[in-house]
Amino acid sequence: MIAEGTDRAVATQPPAPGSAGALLADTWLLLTLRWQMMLNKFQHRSTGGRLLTTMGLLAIALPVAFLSAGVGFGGGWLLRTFPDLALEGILPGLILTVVALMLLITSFGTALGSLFLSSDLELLMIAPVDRRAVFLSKLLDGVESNYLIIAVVALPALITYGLGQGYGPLYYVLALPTLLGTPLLPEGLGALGVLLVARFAPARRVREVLGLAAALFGLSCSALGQTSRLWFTPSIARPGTSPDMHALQTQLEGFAALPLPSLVAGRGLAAAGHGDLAGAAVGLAGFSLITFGFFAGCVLVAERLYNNGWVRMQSSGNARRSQARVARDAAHVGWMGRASVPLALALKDWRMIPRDLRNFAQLLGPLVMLPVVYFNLLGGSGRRSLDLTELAGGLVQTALDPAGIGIAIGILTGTVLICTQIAATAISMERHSWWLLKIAPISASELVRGKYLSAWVPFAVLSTLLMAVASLWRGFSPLGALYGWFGIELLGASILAMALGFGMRWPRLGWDNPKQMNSGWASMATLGSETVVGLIGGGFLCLPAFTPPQWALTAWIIGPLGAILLAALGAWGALAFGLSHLSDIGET
Amino acid sequence: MYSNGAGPEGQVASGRPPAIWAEGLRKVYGAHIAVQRVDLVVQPGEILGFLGPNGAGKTTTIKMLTGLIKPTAGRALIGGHDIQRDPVAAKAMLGYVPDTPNLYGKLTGREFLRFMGRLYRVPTAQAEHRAGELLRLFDLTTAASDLIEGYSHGMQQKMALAGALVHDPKVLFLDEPTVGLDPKSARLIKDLLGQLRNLGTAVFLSTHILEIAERMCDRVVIIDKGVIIAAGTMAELRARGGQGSLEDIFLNLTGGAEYAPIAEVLA
Repeated sequence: MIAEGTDRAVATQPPAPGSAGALLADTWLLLTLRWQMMLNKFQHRSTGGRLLTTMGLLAIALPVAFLSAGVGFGGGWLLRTFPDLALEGILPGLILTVVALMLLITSFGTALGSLFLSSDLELLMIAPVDRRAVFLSKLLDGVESNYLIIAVVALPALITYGLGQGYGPLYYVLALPTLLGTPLLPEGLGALGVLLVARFAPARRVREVLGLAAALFGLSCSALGQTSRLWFTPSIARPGTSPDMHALQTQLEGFAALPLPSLVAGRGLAAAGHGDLAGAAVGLAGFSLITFGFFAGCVLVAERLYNNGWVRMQSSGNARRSQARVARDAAHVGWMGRASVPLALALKDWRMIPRDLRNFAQLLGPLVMLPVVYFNLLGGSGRRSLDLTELAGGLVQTALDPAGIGIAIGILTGTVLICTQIAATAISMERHSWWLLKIAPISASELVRGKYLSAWVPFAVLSTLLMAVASLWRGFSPLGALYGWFGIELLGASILAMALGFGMRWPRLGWDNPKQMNSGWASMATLGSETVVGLIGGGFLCLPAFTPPQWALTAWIIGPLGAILLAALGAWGALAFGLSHLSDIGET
Repeated sequence: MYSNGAGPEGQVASGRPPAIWAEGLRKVYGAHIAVQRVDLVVQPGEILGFLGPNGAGKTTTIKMLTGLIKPTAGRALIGGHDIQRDPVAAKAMLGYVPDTPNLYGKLTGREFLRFMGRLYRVPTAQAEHRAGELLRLFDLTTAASDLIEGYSHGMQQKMALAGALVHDPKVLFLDEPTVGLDPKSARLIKDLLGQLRNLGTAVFLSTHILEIAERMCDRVVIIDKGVIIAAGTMAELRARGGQGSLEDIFLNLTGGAEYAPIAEVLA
C-alpha cells in the first residue's frame, strides 16, 4: 500500500519514456537485477560448490594467463632478435584481434541464450521498461565473462609486451579503455547474427536452429583455427625449417592493413608506448569510432529486429500432419510399441536427441572432428593390402602393430567423446519430464540399462564400424584387429558406465541451455575417472606390444586381465555410486 | 482418521486393501515443515477431494503418496503396496496427472502413449487399442502425429491424462486437472471421473475449483499449513463448518474470510 504524500511525494521525477535517460535508467535497473541474481546464486551454493567454482576458474585462468604473458614476452623477444622486422605497431593489434575473435566465437551462443532463451523475457517484454533496455541489458549479459577472458588472455600479453619494449606509462593508461571497449564489437556482431537467424528460421524451431547455428559457427571458427596451417605459405608452416621472417612480415603487414578496430587500436597503443600523442589519438579515436559507432548502430536497429524475432518465438506455428500420416503412424506400431522397458527408454532417447537441435548441437563438435581425426589416422604410412593370403597369414600373427594401437586409441577417443555426452546427460536430459520415469513402475536396474543402452549402442556400432574399416584399409592382422576392437569396446563400455554413474549422482534437471546439463562435479569425476581407466587400462592392453618376447605369454595374460578388472571396477563403482542416489533425484 | 472401516496397515473387514492408505506422512525441508502429519484412506471406487489454500501441502502430499518424494516420516500404501518399500508394484497401480504436464515435447502424442504403454508393461495390442480410444476421447487423434511441444497447454493436459490412463490404473491422482482446459474438456474430465468411479478406480483429486469437489467427490479432505483440518462427506463438513456451500465451509475453516478488505489494499 502506498500512502499518498509520502513515497510518491519524495520520488524524483522519472525520465520521460523513450528518452535516453529512461533507456539508461532501465538498462541499469535490469543489469543490477541480474548482478543481484548472480550474487544470490553464488551465495546460495554450498561451501564445496563455491570452492569448486573458484578452483575451477583458477585452474583454467592461471595457465592461460601465464601463456598469454609468455606470448607478450615472446613477441618482444622476436622484435629484439629480428630488429629489421617492422612489426612493432602490429603485435598489440594482433593480441587484441585474437581476443576479439575469441569473444566473437562465444558471443553468438551468449547472445542466443540471453536474447531469446532467458526465462524472464516474457516478464520483461510486458513490463513498462524500454524494450531497447531489455535488449541492451541482455546484450551485456556476457560482459563479465568477456572481461574475464580479456583479463586472462589479452591483459598479461599486453603488459609483458609493453615491459619488454620499455613503453611509457601512456601505453598502460590507454590500454585500459581499449580493453574495456574490445568486447562491444564482437557482442554486437554476435547479437546481429542471432537476430538475423531468428528472422528467417522457422518459428517453432527457431530456438533450436539458433542453437545449432551457434554450434556450427563455433565449430567453423575452431576448424579454421585447426587448419590455419593450410593457408599459410609452406616456408612458414613447414615444420623443421627455419621461418622466413620476411614472408612472415609480408603476411602480417597484409593482415594489419585490414580495417579492423583492434588493429587500429593496436597501432595507437604502440604509438602511445613511444609517447607519440598524435599517433595514439588517431589510433584510439579510430578504434572508438568504429567500435562504439557499430555498437550504437546495432542497438538502434535491434529494437525492430529483436521484437520481430521475439514475436516469432512466441508463435507456435504448429502445422498439423496430414490425415494419411496420422493413419500411417497409427497402423505402424514400430519398435517403440513392442520394446522391453530398457529398449523403450533407449528408443525414446534416440528419437528425442536428434529432434532437439540444441541438444544435438552438443554432439556436433566430436561428430565433426571424428572423421577429421579418423582420416588423419588412416592417412599415415601403412599397408593398404586386401590380400586374402596375407590376411590369413595374419591369423597366427600375434605381434601388435604400434600404428594399430594409435588408430585404436584414436577411434576410442573419438567415439567415446560423442557417446560420453549421451551417457553423462542421460538423466539430465529428462529435465522436467523426470517425474514420468520416477512415477513409472520400473526398477532402477531397468532405468540404468535403458540409459546405458542409449549411449552404448551408438558407441558399439560406430567404433566397430570404424575399427573394421581401419583394419581392412591398413591391413591389420585379424588377431591384432580383434584385440584392438576388444580394447576399444572394453574401455569404452567402462567409460560410458562411469559417465552414466556420475551423471546419475549429480544430475541437473533444471537446465534451460543444454550446455548446462553437465554439472561441474559430474564432469570432473567423469573426466578424472575416464583418464585413469583410459590410461591405465590402455597401458595394460598395450603390455603385449612392448614386452620382451620371453615375457610375451605373461603379458598376454596380465594385460587383458588387468584391463578387464580395471574397467569392471570403474564401471561397477561409478554405477553403484550413482544408483545409491537415484531415488533422491527430483526430491526438491 | 481411518474412516470407511479401514484400520492400521489399511486392512478392511472385506480383506480388500484400500486404494490409498497413509499414516503419519510428514515432509520437512530444512527448517520448513511442508506437511506436518497426514493420515488418510481412500477406498476403491471413491473420489476424494483434496482441498487447501496455496502452500498448504497438497502437492507435497500427492508427491509423497505417488512416490515422487520420500516422506520424512510416515508410510503410504497404494493397493496394499508400500510406495517406498515395494515401489514397482505400487506404481503399477497408480496414474498421476500433475498440475503442470511437463511431457516429452520431442515425442509425438502417439509415440508418448506407446512409450507410456511400454513403461507400464501393457501388452502391445491392448496399448494400441487403448491409445486409439484415449486419443479419440480427448479429441487428439488429428494431432497424434505432431510433436507434443506444439500442443496447447490444454492439449498437453489432456495428453498427460491419456498417458495416465493407458495402463488402466486402479488409483488416479489428479492435481488441478481442469486448469487450462476449455469448458468442453473440463466437462469431459468430470464425466470421466464419474465413469472411473463406476469402474472401481479410486480418484484422489486436488482442486481449487470447489464446485467440482462439491459435485463430484464422495468425501472431501481439507489441509492447511500441512495439517488435515477437516475430512468427511459434504454433510459431515456442513455439520462442522457451518451451513452453506463448500466455498463458505472452506473459507471458514482456512481463515480466508479474515482477509483485509480488498478496497483497502487497492486504495
